[in-house]
Amino acid sequence: MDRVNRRATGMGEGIMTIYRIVLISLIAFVVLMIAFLAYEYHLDVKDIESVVLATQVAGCLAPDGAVNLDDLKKVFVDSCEGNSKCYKKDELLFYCGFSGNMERIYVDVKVYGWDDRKVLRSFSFGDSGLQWVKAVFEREKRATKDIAKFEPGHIKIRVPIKVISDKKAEDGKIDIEVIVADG
Amino acid sequence: MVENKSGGMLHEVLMHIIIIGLIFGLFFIAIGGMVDSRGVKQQVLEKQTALLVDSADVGMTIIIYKSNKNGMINSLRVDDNRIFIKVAGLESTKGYSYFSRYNLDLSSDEDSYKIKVEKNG
Repeated sequence: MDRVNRRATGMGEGIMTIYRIVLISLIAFVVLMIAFLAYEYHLDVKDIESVVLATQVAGCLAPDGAVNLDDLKKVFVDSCEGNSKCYKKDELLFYCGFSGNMERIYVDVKVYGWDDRKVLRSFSFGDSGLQWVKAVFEREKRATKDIAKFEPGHIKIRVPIKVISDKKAEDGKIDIEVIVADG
Repeated sequence: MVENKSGGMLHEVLMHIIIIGLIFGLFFIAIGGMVDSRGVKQQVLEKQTALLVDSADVGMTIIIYKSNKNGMINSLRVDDNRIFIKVAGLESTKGYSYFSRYNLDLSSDEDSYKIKVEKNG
């Protein structure tokens, strides 16, 4: 009886020890997670990246301050069969020479002549769904402040340019919108 | 009998102190890694370098000194359009992506890393 009691007491103490270890580990883990959140710092450069890319796209399409739509019409085609140097209209950044991992970028370009309401030509690159994501963050600013670090970087610029179309030059504008997601 | 009980209690208390000490020791080692902000410095260096590469033109060379105010740079590599910088012994697993129309040529000497921006092809 005495031996059984001693064994039972030993087992009970063992269980209590395991319970205490688990409890202390859990408390240490929770404090660690709180400390991790307190010391975590996210440096957001996506807006700056958007500005840099928008400037480069403007320089690519209008290198001397003029967009030659006649030349671009020959390069941007619906079908590239038999034509080695051609691009689809949603491959703008490839035309400009960019390569590699570009999945987090969306670029939208619209070329206007003197009439702001008429788009003469448009180009794009990337997943247009990023516009929707950006719109959600804009609309729900209060709700999204806790996840603000995931908000995509964004810039929309309008550059006055000369537009050459049908061998005629006219004053126009180019709208460039760039959205850069977390990478 | 009384001596046995005291010996048993002392043993139990010692075991508890050792286990608690081990757990908190591990905890403080983990916290120490975060508090010295090596992660933040690494982020700053990687993103600064990526932005410089993004805005660089052909013929430019970006020089990054190994003895940096953000910490000692142990290694810098460019892989799959991403910049990875190892700072003060902290390995970079994620890096930061850049976009560039040009090729990058990475070299290093005793004091610095040099990223030369070259034309494609």
